[in-house]
Amino acid sequence: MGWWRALRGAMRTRRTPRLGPDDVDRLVAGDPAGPDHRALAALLDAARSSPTPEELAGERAAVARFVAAYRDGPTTSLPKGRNRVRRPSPARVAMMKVAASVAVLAVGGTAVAAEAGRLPAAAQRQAHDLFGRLGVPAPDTSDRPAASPAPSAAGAPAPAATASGAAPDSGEIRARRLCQAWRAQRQPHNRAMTAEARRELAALAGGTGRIAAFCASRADTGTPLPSDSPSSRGKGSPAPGSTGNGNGPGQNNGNGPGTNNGNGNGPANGDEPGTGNDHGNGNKQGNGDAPDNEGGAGPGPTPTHTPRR
Amino acid sequence: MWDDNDLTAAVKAAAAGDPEGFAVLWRSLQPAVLRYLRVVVGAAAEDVASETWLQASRDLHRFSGDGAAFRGWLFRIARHRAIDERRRLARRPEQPAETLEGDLSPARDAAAEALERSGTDRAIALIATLPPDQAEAVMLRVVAGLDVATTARVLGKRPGAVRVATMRGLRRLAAHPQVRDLGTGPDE
Repeated sequence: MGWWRALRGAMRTRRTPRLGPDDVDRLVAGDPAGPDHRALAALLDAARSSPTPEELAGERAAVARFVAAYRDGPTTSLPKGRNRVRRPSPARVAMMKVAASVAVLAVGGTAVAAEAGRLPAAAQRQAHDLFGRLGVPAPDTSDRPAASPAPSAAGAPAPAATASGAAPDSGEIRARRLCQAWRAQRQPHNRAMTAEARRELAALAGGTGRIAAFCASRADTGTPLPSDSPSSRGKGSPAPGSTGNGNGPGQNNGNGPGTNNGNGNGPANGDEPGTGNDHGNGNKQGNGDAPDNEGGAGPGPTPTHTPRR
Repeated sequence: MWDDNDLTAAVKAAAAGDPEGFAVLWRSLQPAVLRYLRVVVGAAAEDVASETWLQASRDLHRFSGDGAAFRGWLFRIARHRAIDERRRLARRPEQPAETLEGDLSPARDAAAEALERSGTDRAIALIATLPPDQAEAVMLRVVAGLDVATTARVLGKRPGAVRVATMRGLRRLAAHPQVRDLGTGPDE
């Protein structure tokens, strides 16, 4: 290898011998370098030499900032912590998902209901069986396309609202309807009356304080409201969610144009004796105490819808 | 410059809010941070070092690691702050054109002026003339004392790349005329 050494020696006149990985390790670690790399070692030692006073001049300021930052730290980081807590927990997320699916189901159910009336009887029956609770009506037995279940009806707002939005009833019917809504809204799970309906009722009763007395005389006795009134025909119009109504008073079925749709065998039927009639009217069922009135499936269509059709 | 065991104790104390613990950290590491930043951001090194320590102060209570880990953590902060600083400069198109040029030529001037400076300044200025990746690797390995793995994490590179950059940087330095002049080999 003599020639190699000679060659390297010759080259050294021009450049430093190449560093190998071992040299690098030694130089980085600050270990004594071979004579070939003394200059580089000196340079690196200078680069990592002990600190100068200038370099350490800022200590007091830095420590002061640290103290301040640490003192503020808890307050600045606390909100972060709170945010983190507020961030929905997995359980919450799950709950929200469930709620969302219920909402989707309900909407979907009403949509199905709206659509379902046009389905072949068999399919309609099936859908009804499956989703009866959600307001899918029983198959339409009449030839007519079921105009009634119109989606808008399905989405109709609270019963009270429907009542108030109704075409002018004869005064007494209107009063009874309002009273029903008024009674219903005192039940734990029913919707509140709209302010409008309440005002109307108060006006009829002659003051908010007299509503109770006013309505007492119009107790929900189950006496059918006159079914010949145009509005009462609406009962046929099924109102998803109104499912409950039809069965009780069988007589209603035939009535309205939309009639058939309304006949759903709502599970609610048995629950409210007497009220069946009102349900017959289509609009009322929302007011009923029926437990299944809950949810988006709920409110029946305004009776007025049907007549208009 | 430091002892990692002392650093570990200081890190624990500082994380608990003890100013003296923080002071130990600062005294131990500020010179290396400053030198590293001088290579990376030049004249802005003091400011960026200051920001680095400020961020470290804010986040220290969340840091749980030993002294060696703290060094890596601190230099990662320093590097990020340096990158921010460069972006800030780049965002001001007018000034930077001059500043950058001013920054570049000083680096060369620095090499030229090296003789008038202290050995440390001279060495830093020379390292600053390396291509950026090599300069950073050399500074983090040699001056900050980080091992290959930690350096790789700080730089966001693979360890192999760090090794290569370090070796190339050192070779380049070794070949630098001033360095060759520095060393007087036995046979020269």
